Amino acid sequence: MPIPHLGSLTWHERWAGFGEGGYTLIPKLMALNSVSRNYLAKELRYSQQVSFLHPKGLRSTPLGQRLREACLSEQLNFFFPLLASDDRLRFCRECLRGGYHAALNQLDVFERCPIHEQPLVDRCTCCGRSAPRFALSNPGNFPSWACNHCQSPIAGGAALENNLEAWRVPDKVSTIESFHRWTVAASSTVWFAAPQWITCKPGNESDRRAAFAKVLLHITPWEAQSCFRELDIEISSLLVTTYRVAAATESNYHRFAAAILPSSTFRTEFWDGWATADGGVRLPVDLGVSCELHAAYIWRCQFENVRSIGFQGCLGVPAENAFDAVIKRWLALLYTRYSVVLNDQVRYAIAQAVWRAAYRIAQAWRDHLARADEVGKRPIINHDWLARLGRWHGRTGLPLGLAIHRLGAERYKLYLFVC
Amino acid sequence: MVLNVIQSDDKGGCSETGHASQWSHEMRNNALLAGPERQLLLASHPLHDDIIEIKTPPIKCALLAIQEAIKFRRPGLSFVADCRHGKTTMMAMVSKAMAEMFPKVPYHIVTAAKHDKVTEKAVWSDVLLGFDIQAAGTAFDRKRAVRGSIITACKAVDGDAFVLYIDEAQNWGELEFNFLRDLTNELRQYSRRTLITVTVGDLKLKTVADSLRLLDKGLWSRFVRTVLTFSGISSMEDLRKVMSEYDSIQGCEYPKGSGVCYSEFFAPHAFGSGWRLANEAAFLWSALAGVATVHKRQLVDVGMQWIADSILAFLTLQLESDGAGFKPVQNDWIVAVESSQFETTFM
Repeated sequence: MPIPHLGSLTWHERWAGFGEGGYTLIPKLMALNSVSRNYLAKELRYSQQVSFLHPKGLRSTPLGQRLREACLSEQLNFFFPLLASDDRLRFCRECLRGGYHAALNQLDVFERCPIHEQPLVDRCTCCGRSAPRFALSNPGNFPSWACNHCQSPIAGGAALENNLEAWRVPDKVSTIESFHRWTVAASSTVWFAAPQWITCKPGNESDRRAAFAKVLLHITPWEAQSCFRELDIEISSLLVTTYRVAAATESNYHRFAAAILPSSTFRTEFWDGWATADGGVRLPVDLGVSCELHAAYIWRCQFENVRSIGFQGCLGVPAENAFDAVIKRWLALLYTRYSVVLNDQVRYAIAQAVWRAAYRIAQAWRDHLARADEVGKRPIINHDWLARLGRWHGRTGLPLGLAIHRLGAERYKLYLFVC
Repeated sequence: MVLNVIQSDDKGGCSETGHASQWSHEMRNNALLAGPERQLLLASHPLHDDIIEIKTPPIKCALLAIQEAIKFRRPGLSFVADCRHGKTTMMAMVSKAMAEMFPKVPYHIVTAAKHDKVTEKAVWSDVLLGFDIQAAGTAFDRKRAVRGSIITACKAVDGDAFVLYIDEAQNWGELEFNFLRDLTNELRQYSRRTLITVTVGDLKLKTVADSLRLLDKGLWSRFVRTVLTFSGISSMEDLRKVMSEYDSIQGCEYPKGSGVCYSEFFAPHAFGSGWRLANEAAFLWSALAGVATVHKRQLVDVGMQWIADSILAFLTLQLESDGAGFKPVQNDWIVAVESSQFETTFM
């Protein structure tokens, strides 16, 4: 077998481990080929800082393609800015001492390395200064295993640059495969319409991302959830204050996702009638109910409303069978993506269902609180309702999508997407 | 005339049934029946290539020697041969065969170049050029890149040895072999990987070996102690073996899967009625000997270039005469040898 190549550089995939991010691929390529930072920067020919979460602007060479494959945006589709950060490299010392860094470590939902279960850190082991960005910046700050400040190995241990024999892929690297499967499952949601939630949540950006990941995890039907539970992740308790309705039509699908759904940016002819100029339905702020319960509520109410929306018109079935017809179509949609629900009538009907759901949920909560006030009790979770909801969930297997948009210092907007 | 040769076969290559057989049959028809397909195939026939891969007896000997060197992890083996004897072809064929035989031993072929001033940087640049990898940085950087490439290749196949075939090795001297020795040592010491070198060069490589023996016995014993001669075709019997390869679909089938060997492709009717190129060996040897006699020399060793060119010229010239009763005469071979310019070897 001749020398394996990646463009004009020596490379073989055996040097990288499963799920390895672009950050450690760069020093490996530099050391293997003994090329300088400037040389590699020229090969990549990027004009501005390129995040390893979403490397845009790299040349479409084999090297550029390889770095794109290593990025989180490939797996998480457009969820990556909501889940992960490139502000600092978050690493497991054990992994990085062997030259390996899992891209998944950048997800704020992980506080420990999924492979070694050691805490993820973002500071140099030696001097304690901040780790570099998870990005390809100017050649002076190129990704390296050494700290930019003290020049010692950032994770401790021996220097790796000239020591090819010390590069090791962690033995249990397959542990993260299930997480990767989850990311793929979570990101394959098809969006048509969404009730928005306006919430209040104190905390910083990483809390917000962790909260989003946890909610997404909660509503994604995937067996990998059990792996997350082992990591002792708790679902966040964001408080929902208002329900609104948003739409994600196919035409503005990418814009919708890229802009994280600020409601003012996606007005279409179809949607104009449904944009929530009235500010949505406000809920009492002291419900004390976690966001996953809201997610479950909305999900169920959509289905309840679908029955009464009048789908028979667009599906060509009698009203009494409309609900089953919709379920069948949505199930088919899971496998065929856009091929089934393509016409605007169906989308319109779904959006209508979502919109009605938002009002109905608000009303349900009001009634619930009113009754609770009457009897002098605090609001409690309706477990019977949740059980029925679980049955529906099992029957359809439809995932939901959810996004959070930051409105201000402590104001966030949550978006729930219907698939 | 009906081509009954299409159905004939004493080669035992076309007995499959079903689709494969039908496809093979179509390929045969395309190759042998006059028409645009045959013209296209003729234009791209492998005999027109620079490297014609035919297993000659000397190549088989070289293959055995290299196989042994790899098997027992011998550090160096050398081959010398006169010009146009097919050294490069031998290396290409042997390296491929070795890769099949030892899948865990990666290899690469590099060409040694002569430089006005021998520097480490230039040597490693040549090696990286052979590896098809960008050369950048200082001499030290380039050497590290070579080392990284070799380790990568070994890692890719879970191997612990790498074969470096060096063509035109007569262009290298003491300094270059010194650099190579340092690399070999580093690989063995720090990475536990063996670098096996197979150097091939013209007759000057023997002089290089002799001078190394006097100057640096360590280098000599490592790289060029065993200098084998890669001879050409030195007897009529060898020539017959080479020519019989043209009659066999084992290594000389064109188009692939058609069951048509090289000699059948050029003379299908004659081949169908029993003519074989191998039977022409005496005529060709005699024609070659005739040229040697004119120059008052003895025919000792003929390079494969002249043999291949003579055979190609003969087959091309006889295209028109192809028929069931095809009987070439001595003069046909004399013309073929003339067109191969074999005579220039005596000038």
